[in-house]
Amino acid sequence: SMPDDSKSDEKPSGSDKETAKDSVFKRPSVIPKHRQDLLKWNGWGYQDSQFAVTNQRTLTFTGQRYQLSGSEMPALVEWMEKALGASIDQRSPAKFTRPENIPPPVQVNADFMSAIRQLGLSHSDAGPDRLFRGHGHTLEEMFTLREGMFPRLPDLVVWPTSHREVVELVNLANRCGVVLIPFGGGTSVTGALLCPSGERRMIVSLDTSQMNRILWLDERNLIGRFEAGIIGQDLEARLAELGYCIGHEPDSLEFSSLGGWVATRASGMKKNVYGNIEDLLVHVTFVTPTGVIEKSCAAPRVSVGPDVHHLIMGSEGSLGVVTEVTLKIRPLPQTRRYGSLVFADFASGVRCLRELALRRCAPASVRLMDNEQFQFGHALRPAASGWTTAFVDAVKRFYVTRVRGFKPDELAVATLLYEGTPEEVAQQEALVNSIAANHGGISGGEENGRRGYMLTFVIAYLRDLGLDYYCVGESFETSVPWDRVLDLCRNVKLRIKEECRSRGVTQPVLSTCRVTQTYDAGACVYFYFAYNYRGLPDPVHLYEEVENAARDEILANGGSLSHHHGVGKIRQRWYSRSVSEPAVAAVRAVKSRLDPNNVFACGNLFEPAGGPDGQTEQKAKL
Amino acid sequence: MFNGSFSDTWQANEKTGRPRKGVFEDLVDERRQRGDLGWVLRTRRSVPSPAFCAAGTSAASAAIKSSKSPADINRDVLSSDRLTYGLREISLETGRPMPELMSEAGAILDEMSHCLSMFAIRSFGYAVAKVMKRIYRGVFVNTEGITQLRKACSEYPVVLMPMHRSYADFLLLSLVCYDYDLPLPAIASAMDFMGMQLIGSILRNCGAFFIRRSFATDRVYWLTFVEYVKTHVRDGLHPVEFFIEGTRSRTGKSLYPKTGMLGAILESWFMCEVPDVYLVPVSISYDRTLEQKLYAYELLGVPKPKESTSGLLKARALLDEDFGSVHFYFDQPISLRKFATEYGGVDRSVHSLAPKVKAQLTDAETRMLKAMAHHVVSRHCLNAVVSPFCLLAALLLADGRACRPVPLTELAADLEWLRLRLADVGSLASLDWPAQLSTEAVIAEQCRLHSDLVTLLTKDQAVALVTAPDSDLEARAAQRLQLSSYRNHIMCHVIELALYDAATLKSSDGGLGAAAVFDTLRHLLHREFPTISDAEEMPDMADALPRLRNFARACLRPSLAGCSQVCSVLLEQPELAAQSSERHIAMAAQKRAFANLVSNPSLWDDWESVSLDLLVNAVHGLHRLRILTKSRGAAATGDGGSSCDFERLRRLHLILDPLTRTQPDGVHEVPSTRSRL
Repeated sequence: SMPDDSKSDEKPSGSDKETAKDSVFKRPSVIPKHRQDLLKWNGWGYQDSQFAVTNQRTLTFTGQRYQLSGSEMPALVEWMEKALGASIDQRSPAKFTRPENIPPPVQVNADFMSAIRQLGLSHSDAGPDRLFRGHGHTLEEMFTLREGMFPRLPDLVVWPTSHREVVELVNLANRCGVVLIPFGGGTSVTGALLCPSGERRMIVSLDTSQMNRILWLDERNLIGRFEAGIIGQDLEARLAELGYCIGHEPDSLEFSSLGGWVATRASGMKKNVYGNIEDLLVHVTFVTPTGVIEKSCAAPRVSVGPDVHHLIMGSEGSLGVVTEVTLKIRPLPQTRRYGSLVFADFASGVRCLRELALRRCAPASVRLMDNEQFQFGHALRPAASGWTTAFVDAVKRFYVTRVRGFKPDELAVATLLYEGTPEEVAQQEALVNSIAANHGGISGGEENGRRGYMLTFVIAYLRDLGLDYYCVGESFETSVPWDRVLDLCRNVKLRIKEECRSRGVTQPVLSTCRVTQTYDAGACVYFYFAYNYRGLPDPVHLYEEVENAARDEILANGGSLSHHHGVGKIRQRWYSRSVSEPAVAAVRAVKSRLDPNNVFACGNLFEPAGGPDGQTEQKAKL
Repeated sequence: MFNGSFSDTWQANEKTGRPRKGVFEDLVDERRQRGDLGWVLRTRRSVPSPAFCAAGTSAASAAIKSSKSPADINRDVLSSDRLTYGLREISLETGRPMPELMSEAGAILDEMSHCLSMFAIRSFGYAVAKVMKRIYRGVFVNTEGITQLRKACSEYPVVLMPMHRSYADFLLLSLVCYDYDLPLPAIASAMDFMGMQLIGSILRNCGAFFIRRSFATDRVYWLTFVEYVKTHVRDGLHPVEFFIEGTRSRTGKSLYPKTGMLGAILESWFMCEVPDVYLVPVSISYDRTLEQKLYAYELLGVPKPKESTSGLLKARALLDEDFGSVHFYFDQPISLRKFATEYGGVDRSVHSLAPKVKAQLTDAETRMLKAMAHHVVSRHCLNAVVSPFCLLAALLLADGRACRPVPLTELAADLEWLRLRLADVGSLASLDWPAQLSTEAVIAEQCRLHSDLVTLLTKDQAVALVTAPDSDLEARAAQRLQLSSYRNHIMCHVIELALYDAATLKSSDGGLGAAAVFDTLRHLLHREFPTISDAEEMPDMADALPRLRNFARACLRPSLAGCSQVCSVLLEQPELAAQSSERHIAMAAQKRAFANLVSNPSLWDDWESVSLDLLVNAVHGLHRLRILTKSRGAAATGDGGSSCDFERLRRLHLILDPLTRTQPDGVHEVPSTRSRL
């Protein structure tokens, strides 16, 4: 039953409550409309947060936003030297791009421009606005920002503020022959936001960020209605004030948007309790050039033909744009507790995760890091703050390596996050620990677990540091049946190293993985790889070749094309093979029926029939 | 690969002090200089172990060790998912209880498994080293190959794939591995040895594991065998060593490769159980083979003596003989993954849908497996060191030349010509030619080494064959087969030219056209010469020198004579095909050949048509050409019974007829051509 009544005692009653709620519902986002005011233009995250060199040998993390902020990491420089052969003296700073150097719009559709002015839609053709919406966060995109410029940017950015405005905008674009590319949080890592190079029409970025309201909460049914542009951290922060949460926590939570989650079939780290986006989604409103798709009810499950939600989820901006979403909400958990486990090796850890999945008792999140990542995590440790910490660390190390005989260069660490009532959490923790013991695992303490999850948000900043020192790096993911997890992890990691070596990389290559999700039938595996490109001519091309080889290896090993990043542009070559020709034909048919003029011409999943610019092709024929 | 003969660079290896010869260095010399005791007791340093199974990424066992006892290996095999799954399937189908099947698998494993121990290797190595010093002048190894092998051993699982010419092959190969501080191989051996008291268990302790010769229909055996091999590959601690030819070649030619063992190894990569596998072809060449005489009698059909320890003791007389040198050429390791990429068409992801335990090779993978097997055999031949005696034997046998003594000067001139021509063509890069000696002296030296086959008549300054009296047909044939086995060493270098020559010979084409004749011969001889390329088109070799063409033609003629013999016997006895197995047809052809020789011993090339190996290959060729087709019932039982297309057989016989007759312009009879060279 609902805890509605008990809550009302603690909270302001009557209309006061409504007003407070209303202000929470409509509070502006943490991220400003003009993103350049807060965020880096050529790197990850907030301008004030980055790894920086304090003196010759020490790195620190600036700002005050993260647990790591302000602390010095004495071991990090040494790790960079050891793991990547990078040197703190060999810098490769980003080239400086002035706003006036951002290429101006190349196509301006006069009809469209006058119509949006008439409609009063907020818009901008300023360089920085367009630049921020012309890319995502793949390595190639970051490298382009640092070293050069994109061949094409959106010609205009439009900020609709409601579903109704989106409908008008889409109709207008359809009428005027303008391309729309939906933009949410800009955290895509599939090249999905890049403007198709052959597009000759005006390209407009449809920025949903100003559609960020909570429309309503239904506490009886534990669902809520949200505008699609709301970003993860706003959503959770606002709901938390009201005693609720969604529980969807992708690593990009701070910046990614609800609409983006739906369009890419996102996954959150706490899916064991809350589910992935497809489990959370109850209703969605989707605007296409031929009309609005939505179901007629918000019932928990229906059998009414093929589920259209599954056409919308994973459409990656190629069919239309998500405007409003009804999601399940949950009461905030009473307790949140971190934990960690240490295993003799990665294989033991995987066997433990497999058993957790088998017995369906995995906590909200469990992640298993391989030895390389464990070492990396170690390198990010702040300087010991006092002799007691150092002493405790030494005792721990003694126990793990001497008493238990774990080898520091073989052991693997799992981080855990429990959520629930104190009793539930205690019970679950005891069970997990006993299962871990079956596989030789021992508890590594709560603090290590907490640090592990904190690093999730910081790790994305690390690539920018690497890029400053001739190191390029990227992550990619897959999902794979249990019986293939170990072989896949090992083979892909080795393949990456070998491909780098055979292409002339002489310094050590960082090639590491972690298991980030467990399912009944398999797991999600996340790979990171990085290498030092000093002296190599075309690091991004080399990187692409290596990632492609790694993806081939993943597929050969029975892994999927993607667990949650999506296909976008960079994985198109495998799309048809992954889903079969008739399936692609079916999706194409849907595309041509919903969007006959190819308004949503982002070119994700597959290139539109008749080249990137279907419409122009047709005109040329006439 | 190295170019030209490597003769002129005798020097000591700076690091080891071992004598060098081109890319090779000699192991035996050091053993002669110093005692063997220190050598067998010494600590082997930095033996490489593959990085791929390090640091807890291996799925194989909970605790990753740098070594694994034979008992551990067997335990892993029996507890493997694949074996359990397979046995359960068998149990469901046959109703046999699982415990019974498990204990059957356990028994098979006990019979099969090796028991590798360093102590045994060291003790047995001591004895082998003693014998080696006594009978061989040198055991030469290409050091670059060892370096590459060492690197391969530190990366991925390694499979050693030596040629098989003698029982000495695997003893010497293990010794080489021991000597160079390489991981010791687990060696797949035939069951023949297992029965031998003492020796059987010594070999087991030295890493040999024993496989039955035929077990295609025994599913439990197959499952256990495959898992045993795959466990070794997955662990990567000991290179798996096996003979792709299946058995020792008695003819000096490569045997048609067997794919069962290689299939098991490839499966572990197709199923992604290992990141990659390195295959290392090892060419082994003996100046003289220990079993040379025995082989000749086996080819004639005189039954092979069963291996027994007492038989081995009788072979002690061998210890007083001189067997020349042995050359090991370790080829550049072949990465399975890279081979597959180049070969194309193999998509491992097709295995994604079924559980891993249901491993089964796809058609594309089976095709690649066969191509791989042939590729390895080709590498064997290409890299094998060739002794001068092989060229000498080929020259003596060509066009019936040695039916009377050949003047030394003439033979020397021809040998010099052949040596330089073959080097020019680039096909014969590895001739073991002693540079300091004159050609005449080389011949004299070879006559001394092979005094059982050829002799130098010092008075006449001529070379003659050692021949048994005409009355002892079998002994004469045996001598002939021994000599031809040396010629066969170089067959892989001339076969393509010989086929081209045969196809373009005006008289043979019978209106078919050269390409069709080439194709027919290629199929007919596919077992006789497994290195023949599978390329669709006939190569254009029109610019080959006529004298070299003649030589190649003469080298091929005995094989074609054998085929012709089979055709004749099938035409003469039409009922033979329907009633007999391949071997029976071959034996009938052999009988016919012997009868011909009795009436006309001067039929030079027919002296090789008594080799059952050649004749069986010819019957296979007829099957490949679909002139013989196994009848339905026979295919199941495996013995006898083929239907024969007599019309096409007759046509084939007509094609072969002119090719098997000695041409008047033999190699040595056209001095005028020499000026053109």
